[in-house]
Amino acid sequence: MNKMLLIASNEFSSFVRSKAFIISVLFAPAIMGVSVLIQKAANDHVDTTERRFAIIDATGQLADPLITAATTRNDALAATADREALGGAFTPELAEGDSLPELRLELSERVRNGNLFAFIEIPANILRTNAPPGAVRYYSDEPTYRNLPRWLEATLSAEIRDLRFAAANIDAAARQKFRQLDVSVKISAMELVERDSESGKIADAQKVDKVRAFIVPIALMILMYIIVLTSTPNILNSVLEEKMSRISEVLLGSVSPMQLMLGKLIGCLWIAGILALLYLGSALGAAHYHGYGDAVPPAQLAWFAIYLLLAIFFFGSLFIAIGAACSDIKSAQAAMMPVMMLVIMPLMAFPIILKNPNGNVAVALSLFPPATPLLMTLRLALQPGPPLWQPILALVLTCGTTLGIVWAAGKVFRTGILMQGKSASIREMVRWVFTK
Amino acid sequence: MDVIQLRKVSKSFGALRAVDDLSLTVPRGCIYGFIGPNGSGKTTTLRMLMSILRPDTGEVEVLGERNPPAAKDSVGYLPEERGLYKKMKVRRLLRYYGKLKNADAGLDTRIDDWLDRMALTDWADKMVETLSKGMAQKVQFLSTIIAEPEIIVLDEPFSGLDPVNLEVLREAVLTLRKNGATIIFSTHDMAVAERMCDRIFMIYKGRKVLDGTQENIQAEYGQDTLRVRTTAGAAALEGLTGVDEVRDHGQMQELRFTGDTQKLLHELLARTEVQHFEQTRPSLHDIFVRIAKPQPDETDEAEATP
Repeated sequence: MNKMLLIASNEFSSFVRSKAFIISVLFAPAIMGVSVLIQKAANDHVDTTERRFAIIDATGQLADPLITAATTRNDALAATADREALGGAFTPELAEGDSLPELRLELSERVRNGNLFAFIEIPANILRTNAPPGAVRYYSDEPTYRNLPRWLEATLSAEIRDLRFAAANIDAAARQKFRQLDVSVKISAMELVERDSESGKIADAQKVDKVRAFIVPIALMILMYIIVLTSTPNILNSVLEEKMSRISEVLLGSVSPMQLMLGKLIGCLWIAGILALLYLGSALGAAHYHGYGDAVPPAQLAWFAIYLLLAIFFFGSLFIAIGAACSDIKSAQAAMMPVMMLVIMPLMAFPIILKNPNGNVAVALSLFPPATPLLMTLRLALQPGPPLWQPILALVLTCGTTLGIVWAAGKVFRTGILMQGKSASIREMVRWVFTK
Repeated sequence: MDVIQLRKVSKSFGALRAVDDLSLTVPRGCIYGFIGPNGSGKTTTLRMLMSILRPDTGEVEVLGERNPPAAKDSVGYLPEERGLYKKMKVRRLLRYYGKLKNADAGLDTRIDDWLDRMALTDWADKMVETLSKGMAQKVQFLSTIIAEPEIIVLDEPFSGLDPVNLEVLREAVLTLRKNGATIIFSTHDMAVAERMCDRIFMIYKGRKVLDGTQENIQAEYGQDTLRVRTTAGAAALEGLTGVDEVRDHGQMQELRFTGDTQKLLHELLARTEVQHFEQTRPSLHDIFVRIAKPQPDETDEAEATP
């Protein structure tokens, strides 16, 4: 045990002296700093950019009301102090031409040149009741900016409805009445309520908070991903270095292969531990600053620690086996790829889990041992959270698999580190695992 | 008392029988030379001593321990393939290796002591990568002995050393022996083995072929070697009956002879002028070559390690 700790502390201190560690240390407070800065910037900066857009109107009836509506909006904008909700002014202009394709090209060029933000194309059939959905076209170079198309949708809907009513011979007074009575319902997502155990009152429901509902769970998962990816490939390098510079056999004169390997894993665990402290510390610090100090309950942190430990042993052993089986950096990098895929795979799958955190696919994926640490951490943080048997079953499965992997890696390590010259094939590694 | 005993030890790698039914004992306090051509099983045997490899059959006993890993702390091992952490400072490296052997509290003093003796004091806080090759070899040697092990196993310790460093390390080995350590080393250099070893052990194709003190071994081969210097050189020896394996050193010829030496001398005198005629025991080198006469197809056989 003493020797394992000695090896572990050697691994640890080598890492702490490395550039990679210094970068990670700087990275942690940077997370906190950046989050504070972003919030400050978001508070100070109000989007007041004027957005000019062109209207191609095949109906000949919608451009004018649109221009009027935009003017009304811009006037209101100038009058209000709360510009944050509305954004910058929308400045419409009418675009006309004989050939629609030519006109589209001309306007597209203007958007590209920057003297137009977008243009909209309203087909003639939009006034008919059987107009297909999506018939109105919106062209822009910045599809992520949603305020303008949203405003256009709402304004056009109202104007088209008005024109259709007029076509159906409903008089102006009734149309005016209808406008006043019309409603567009918005839903507020609420959390469930519970009875306060002390006062016995039923507490008021809280609005669902996007930060608590999405950002905290995803951040926890990504944090674990970063820690695993920073710490475990490190052991591969250390094993490969010892093998390539012929140090392994010197070490084996003093310790057994199992001691050497477990020492390295423990060292890696310490590295992961200090990274977790740094990152989680700064992340929680940042969360506290933004008023989310209680967003990660202690039980979740405990699960995080347990799954992180398993992930380190699981992936660490795989990387150790690769380091021992390869003889040069090139072949090690090639052999690393499949393991890297195993680390990254859960990150690809997380949108599926967000959609339906307790669905069959989510349960199956989070019970698959290589994916458990990341995905179960995510599911535990997502409301309402999985039933307790699932994280426990996942724990048992991952423990079992990890023990198996550590055992097999030990066999590969024992034989591999004494091999010089060529890298082992998969078949050879399998044979090493099953020889006495 | 014997510090190491191997009893009927065998080890195979696939179809290759690297060590075959090998038995040997190493008495305490001696310098034990391990010789044999490449690929004969030297490294495999040393690795089994260090319990880096486990024998297929047979028994290895180190310092009375039937379970050799338990004795690991008392055995220093310098493998043939050896390296150092390039990014570690010399002192930190020696301390790490010493602690891996559970070295006692005197470790730091001993490190200073040995660095001084090897003229490395100025390099104690330098990175290993800044050392010259000779210095690195000395540091490797120090890392093996810094924990003061009872047994020191050195696989080719002197290969690639320049004469100055070779002398320094030779001195160090002798000092360690004087302080009570038992030293086992393998070498290709028969001159070094002859000069330093109390006992010689030769392994060939995995089997023991020689084991004993130098005198015993040489006596076994009798006085069958002649050293001759004549005016005519090697040509004078051609076609003489009983003459075998002439080794021409230029000024001197060494040959194996069976028969009447007086008769041979007469025959030689009839042919040329004889300046030197000496009957002697075969050198270790000769014995080595006689046993391991290279077959044409195995001169470059690679070291058979796993």
